[in-house]
Amino acid sequence: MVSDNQYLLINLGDASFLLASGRGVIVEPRERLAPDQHGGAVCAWRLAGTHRWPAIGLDRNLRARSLDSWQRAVFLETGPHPVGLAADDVQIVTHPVEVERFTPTGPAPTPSGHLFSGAWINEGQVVLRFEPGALAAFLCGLGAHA
Amino acid sequence: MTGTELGALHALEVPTTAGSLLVPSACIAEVVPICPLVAQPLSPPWVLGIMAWRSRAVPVVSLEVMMGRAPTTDASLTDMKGGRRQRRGGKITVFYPLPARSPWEFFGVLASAEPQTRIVDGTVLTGAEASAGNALVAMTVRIDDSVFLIPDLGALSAMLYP
Repeated sequence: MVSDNQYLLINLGDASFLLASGRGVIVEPRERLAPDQHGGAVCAWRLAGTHRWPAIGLDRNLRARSLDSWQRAVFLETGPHPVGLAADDVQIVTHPVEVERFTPTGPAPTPSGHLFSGAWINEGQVVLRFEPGALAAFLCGLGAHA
Repeated sequence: MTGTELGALHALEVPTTAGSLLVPSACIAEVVPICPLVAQPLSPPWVLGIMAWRSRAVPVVSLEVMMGRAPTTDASLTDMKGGRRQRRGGKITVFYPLPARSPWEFFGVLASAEPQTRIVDGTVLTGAEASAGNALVAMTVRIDDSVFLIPDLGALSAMLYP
């Protein structure tokens, strides 16, 4: 299945994930965000008028982390305000990507379902594609108490 | 069930430390060597990881762990550089998608040794009994003094895709 989507390649530690770079996705460099001083799951905040959007830190196993190595945050549109994922690096994949359907096994880790809905085989290695809605719900859950 | 009720069935014996599975060969797409697995984040412990197979991403599971037992001990899990996981020894048996599942939902089962083909008919099948206490096992059968587990594919599907 060749996708017309443009994708972002998100690096969390030494793991990589794909995210469709569609409407409602904003990438911000770390220096444009306000750092969070509490050492929790929220690494930083994007200030937007009277609101602020949290950027959540995750390790390669998608466990909340508080690390210094992240360079960019990817914000996903969701209610009541966008929520972000802090990443070690975010790159735009400039060539066509063939994403195959993929169903994770086991119970879905979020009320919105599984975090992945497809996979790209890149030079023999599996790169999982995030399901944006489930990822946003997952991040909101982690940042709910921020 | 008696031998006279059975025609010849081509089957594959898939060794695991919980016992050897006996499954129709028609359920099996391929047996492949162990290969690096990418972790599936936030998955249960019986999901060993995801392998690249024929341009697809295929989850690989441990039936031992699904059945509540210890994982295969001669295939120790190794954290690989790059966040990938690999087991030493054994094989991965790639199953076709289970009944009523989507056509891309192949899955792999870690075998503790090379799976073997068997032709099962009434001359070799000497006994069958209902499963003793594990929901993933439909029944056990005895062939040539060896006991095999017949998986309950419905229960397996329910656990893989709840």
